[in-house]
Formats: sequence, C-alpha cells, structure tokens
Amino acid sequence: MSIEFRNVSYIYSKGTPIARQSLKDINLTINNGEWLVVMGPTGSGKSTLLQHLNGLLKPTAGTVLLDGSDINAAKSSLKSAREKVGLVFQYPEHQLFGSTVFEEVAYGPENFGFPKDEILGMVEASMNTVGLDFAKFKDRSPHELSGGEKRRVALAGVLASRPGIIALDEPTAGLDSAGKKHLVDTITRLNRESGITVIWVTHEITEIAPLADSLLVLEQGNTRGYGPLRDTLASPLLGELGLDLPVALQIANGLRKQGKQIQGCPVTIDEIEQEILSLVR
Amino acid sequence: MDDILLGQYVPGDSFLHRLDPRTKIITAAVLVWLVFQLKGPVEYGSLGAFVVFVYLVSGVSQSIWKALKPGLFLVIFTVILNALFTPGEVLLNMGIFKLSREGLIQGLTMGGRLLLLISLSSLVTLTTSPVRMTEGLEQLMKPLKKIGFPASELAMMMNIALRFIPTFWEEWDKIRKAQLSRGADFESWNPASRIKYVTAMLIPLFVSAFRKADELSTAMESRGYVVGATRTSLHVLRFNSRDYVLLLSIFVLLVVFGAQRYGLLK
Repeated sequence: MSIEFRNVSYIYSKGTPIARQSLKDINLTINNGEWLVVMGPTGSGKSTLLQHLNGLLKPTAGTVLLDGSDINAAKSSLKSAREKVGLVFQYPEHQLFGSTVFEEVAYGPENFGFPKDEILGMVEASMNTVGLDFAKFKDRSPHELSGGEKRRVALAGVLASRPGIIALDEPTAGLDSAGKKHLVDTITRLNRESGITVIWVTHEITEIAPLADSLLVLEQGNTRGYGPLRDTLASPLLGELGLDLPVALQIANGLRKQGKQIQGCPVTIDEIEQEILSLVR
Repeated sequence: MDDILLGQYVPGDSFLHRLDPRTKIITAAVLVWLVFQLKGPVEYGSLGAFVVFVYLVSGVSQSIWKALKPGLFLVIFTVILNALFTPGEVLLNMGIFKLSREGLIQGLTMGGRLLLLISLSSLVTLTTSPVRMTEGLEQLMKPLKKIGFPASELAMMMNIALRFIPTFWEEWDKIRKAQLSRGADFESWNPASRIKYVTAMLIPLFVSAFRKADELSTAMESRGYVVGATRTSLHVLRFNSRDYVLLLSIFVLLVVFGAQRYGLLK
C-alpha cells in the first residue's frame, strides 16, 4: 500500500490567538513495502504527521492520498483508512482496557466489522506475529503482564485488523535492549515477508538504519531533508540539528576528522569494520 | 477545550487582582449574605449596578457572559416556573398555565438573586489565580485545624486536582485517538457499542490516573512532603492597606444595612 502527502499543511487551533503552524507544505511519497524513518527534534511535527496518516487530523491545506484516493473525501474513506493504516502511539500499552488479552486484540477487528469466526483467526495470527503464545496469553489480563509484553499486546491489537501500512511513534521508547530487538525483528519480518509499509518515528537510528529505505527529517514543521536513507544520513543535516547518528557513522566521522579516508556512508557495524580493516591494511 | 485549559482566571493588575484572596473571599461571602436580605427593585438594581461596575474596573467585563452562561438555564427555568405556578392575581390566563402577579415578582426576585450570586462568586475566581485561591482558603480554614480539620491537606488536594485537569485532558485526547485508530466510532448510537467505547476510554484513563497518583506521591515524598507537617510558604499572604480599607468598609456597610433594615436608625 502506498501513501502520498501533497502540499500538506496543518495549523493547530486555527483562527484563535494560540494558532500554531505544525506542518508546512509537506510532500511525501511512501511506496508499497517501503520503510520510512521520520526524525526531528521535539516539536518538529512528527506526531502531527503520523495523525494525518489515518485522518485523526485533517490537513488545513493539501491532501493525503492512500493508494491514490483522498482519505478525507468521505466518512467511508476515512473508516477504510483507519483499517488499512495501523497507528501505534507512543507508549501504546497505556491504552489497554480489555479484561483479557483476547478481548483487547479483538477490539479492532470487531470495530471494523469482521465476522466472528474470522476474528478468532486474526487474533491468533497477530498474537503469533508479536511473539505471544495464543493458548498461554489469550485469557490473561493485559494489566498483569510485564511492560514489554503489554506493548506486544498493544501492537497485536493494531496488527489484528491486518493493516497494509503500519506507523509507529517511538515504538522502542522505554523498552530494554532485548525488548527493542524483539520489536525491531517483528517489524522487519512484517516488512520483508508480508510486504507491509512501515513508517517509523524515532530518536534512535542505529538499530534501524540498516533496515529502512528512506529518511525524512523535520524541523518546526518543515521538511529539512528527505530521500534515500544513506543519502540523507551522509549530509551534515542530522548533526546540525543535534539528532542521533548511527554508531558506525559517528565512528566514520571521527576518523575523517583525523584525516583518514572512509568510503561512502557506513551505517552498520560490519561496514565500518570493513573500512577500519582496509585502513589498517 | 481551551476553556478547561485556561480555567476562569483572567490575569490582570486591577485593584481586585491585587487584593489578598482572603479579603476577596470574606467580602464575597458578606455580599452573598446581603443578596438574601435585599428587598425591592431599587436595592437589587443598586447591587447589580455595583457588580457591573466592579467587573468594568477589574478589566474582566468581557468574561461576564462566560461566567453567567452555565447558570442561565437555571435562572430562566426559575423565573418561568415561579411565574406560572404561583397562585395569585392572574395577569394572563393560558389554560392550565396562569401567569400571576405574585409569581412574576417572586420569579424575578429569585432569578435576580441567582444572577447576583453567580456574578459575585465569579468575580472572585476571575481575579484570583487558583494557587492564590487555595492559599487563601487554607489560611481561612487554619483555625479549624485545632479541631482536627485537615486544612493544608485539603488545600494541597485542591491544588493537585487543578494541576492535573490539563494533564488528564491530554491523556483523554491521546486515548481517544488511539481507540479511533482501532476503528472505534464514538458517534454510534447503538447502546451495546456505546458501552464498549465508554469502557475503552474510562479504563485506560483510570489506570493512568492511578499510575500518575503513585508517581506523584513518590515524587512528593522524596522531596520531603509529610502529611500534617508544618510547612512554610514561598508566597506569604499579607494584608495590605487596601485589604484593611475594604474589610472596614464592608463592615461599615454591614452595620449600616443591618441598622436600616431592622429599624435601629430612626
């Protein structure tokens, strides 16, 4: 599934004294199966951008196209956008309400009107995807699980409606390193095997730099950089804005400062290892 | 929703704004008592004119409507019910409804009282920041501590409650958006799904309230807060000359009014 932003602008509290422009003339094309990373300082409009993906916010100007059609055109197109674009908010475990994990995960498919016998299969599949054993977890209360497990339940709740696009706001925030790795692996599998389009908002780029395709850098609602991930990373933009760089790139930049020759833009540890080895040789 | 975020308080630098909150609370209490003692249109009219005058000089006149709006329904209801259902000299006969002279007077009196009560008490909240208000209440309730009344704790609770209104509004908005993203349709009229949507909103909100309360109490304790301990205040409330002048004049007004009403001045 593809999504396109055409000249999207958004103004908070339009027409009041506290009006504030949050997005300015954003143009984006996210193709089917693409993995886009969105970075930017606090208040740059990342979360506002995400809320435009499924029509939670309506652009003040411009259009959001899902597979070529405007999602804000009618109530039905909005409902279908909510189903096709799964939105995972920051700390999604805070929105859990079900008395059992099953009830929680089935909430989305029920709302979208899937038949009962199909929902059972959908819940089981999405719980398996996030690594929660169906038989073991389905009757437990989500509130008694660990933090990492709660987040997996929340993620399963979004995945259960089988979205073609999944957008995540700081999905690894507050997880331990094992939890982070598990989450990144889950999304990687969804992207590689099921061809789900991924939009990933983050402050930490190291763990996903080798996986993602493109990078959008926002600052105060403006597009500061947008393009293939490595090209955008190679520019000095992220450093200027004080954003996180992949560890490998930080090492490369440090070596370059000392006058060493480093090829291209290394983003994985293996790549920088090769570069260092070739320096030593 | 901005109304909730900003509260009623309108920042300013008028005479009323600079008064000690205790003075304002006491004065408002006396005037509220006075409202119930008034008789006849002249007395109501003069107090009404005085209240409007104070709104104007305090620079909060643009908030008069906002303050009265929530009570307006009650006022209109009171006037109509009294006018139609009080027995007396019939002015207008409309079948089962009879507009009586006594009823009209009684309705207008009650309505006028309500309007005065709302506008008077709003005058205090419009010109006093919530923090100063709770400080004032705490000071006024201090004497009750002797009989075991938890004045400081009550003031702290009020402060915390006020502080968390915007926080919970943000939380509410976040949860609403998360459930909308999972296909919740809050406009549905189907009772079964409505119940489900309410659950999906309220349970996360309660869980978050308990979590926040827990975190807050830890944070307060780690900064040395002990229930019942004597604490000093960063902003000490102090009566100024304007407070004494106002309190004295309100006392004089009270004595003169009482004497007039009960026939001691003759």
